[in-house]
Amino acid sequence: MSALLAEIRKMRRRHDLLLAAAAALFVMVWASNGKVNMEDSQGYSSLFYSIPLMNTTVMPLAMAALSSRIWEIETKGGGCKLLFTLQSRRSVFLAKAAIGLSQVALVSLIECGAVAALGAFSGFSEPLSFRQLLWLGASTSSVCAMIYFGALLLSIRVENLAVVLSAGVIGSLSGLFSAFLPKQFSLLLPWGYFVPLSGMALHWDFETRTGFFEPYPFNFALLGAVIALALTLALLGRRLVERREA
Amino acid sequence: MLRETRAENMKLRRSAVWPVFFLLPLLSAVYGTFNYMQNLEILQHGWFDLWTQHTLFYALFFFAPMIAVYCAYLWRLEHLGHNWNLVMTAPVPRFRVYLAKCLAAARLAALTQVWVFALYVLMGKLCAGLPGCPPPQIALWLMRSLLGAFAVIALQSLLSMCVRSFAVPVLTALGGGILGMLFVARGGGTLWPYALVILGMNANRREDMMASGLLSYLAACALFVLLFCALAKLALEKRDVRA
Repeated sequence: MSALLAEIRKMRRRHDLLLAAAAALFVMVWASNGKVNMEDSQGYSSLFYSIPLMNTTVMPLAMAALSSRIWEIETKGGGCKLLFTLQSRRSVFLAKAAIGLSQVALVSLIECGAVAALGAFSGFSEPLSFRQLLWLGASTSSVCAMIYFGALLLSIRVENLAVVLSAGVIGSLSGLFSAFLPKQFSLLLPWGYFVPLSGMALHWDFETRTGFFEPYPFNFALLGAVIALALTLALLGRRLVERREA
Repeated sequence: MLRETRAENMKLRRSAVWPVFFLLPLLSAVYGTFNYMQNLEILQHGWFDLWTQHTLFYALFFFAPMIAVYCAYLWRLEHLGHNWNLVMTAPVPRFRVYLAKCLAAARLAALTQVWVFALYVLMGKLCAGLPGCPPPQIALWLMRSLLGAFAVIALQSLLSMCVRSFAVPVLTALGGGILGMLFVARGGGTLWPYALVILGMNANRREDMMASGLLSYLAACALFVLLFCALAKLALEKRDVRA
């Protein structure tokens, strides 16, 4: 608990939560902008379809930025040596992981809250599916957590933030590409897992140039795999902190 | 000025920006070519259609963050330890340090566009098997986009100078790029610096978006560069940067 409080104190005036909130709000503004007829009968479905796609573009870089900033505090001042004499390495990592997960939770909460708020303000005629909303929250938070721990692992390993941020940019681009690749290829790129986990599909008719959204079966197996991967990356990160030379 | 630019270029030797320099355009080219090959029945304008696929996401979302990584990397050293004090006391006008960093980033951006063009030609010839040479307009669009890139460089360099964090300016560039796409879609591309690279590269379009608006594009590029340079000069001369 004291490690967590120390971590919260370190975050003062760094505006990391604000950054996470801004990333989520940006996705929502973009998603609502992409939707031309917000009042139509498929308003919510359209949001459930477009948010994962926009998350794929924004979140890999946003998560890389957040995780690099949380580790940057220790490396910039060269304070690791002193820090590890004051508290256990495990508690340092766990506190940082808890802060990271709170940022991820904030992103998911804002996105889910904004979907409901957008629907209420725009007067969607379609009823809001709470199963879809819950699924959006669960899939967004688990993929964000996985990317966050991957980027944190890289931050601890290389320290040079250019590498972490470059990986974030490359992750965003490859994730976005994977959304348009056949499914077997898209599963090779974890940054883009927002899209295969989406609970909404778009059926596009090239002849009439019209489309409609249809709920897609939730992929629980992939969600489980993402959570397992996030846990593995977190454990690897903890191990790296424990064995790291200060 | 040459000496300062040379010093900045030295910082880029064996630096961490080279993987992103090579990989990002390569990814974009591989995906673009793959997409082109998959949609040959719709895409029947050869080199021009290949260009639309190569620049589909690269120009819209990722060229600006790439520039942001270059600029943030160039300012990273100044933000470490007490190096700002060194910059402030060095026998070199402070504004020249900013200009030298902009020039170094501009050189990298130019090299990036050369790499993008080389990949476009290679993929067009070797993978897509397109006949003849690529149209000269494409090279012109790439050069034109460099002028837009100068405006983004001036802005990103200013942001990286003022914000100590490496990540925030890069994230800002991604947001700026996405907003740029919305500006271009609404016909206001010249009002937003990040939209200039999209307009310049003629991203995802076969017909030239700038056919009748080249003058306003050039004026916007020049104005933004001047504005951000003036702001940087003001920031460096009127207000001491916090070390």
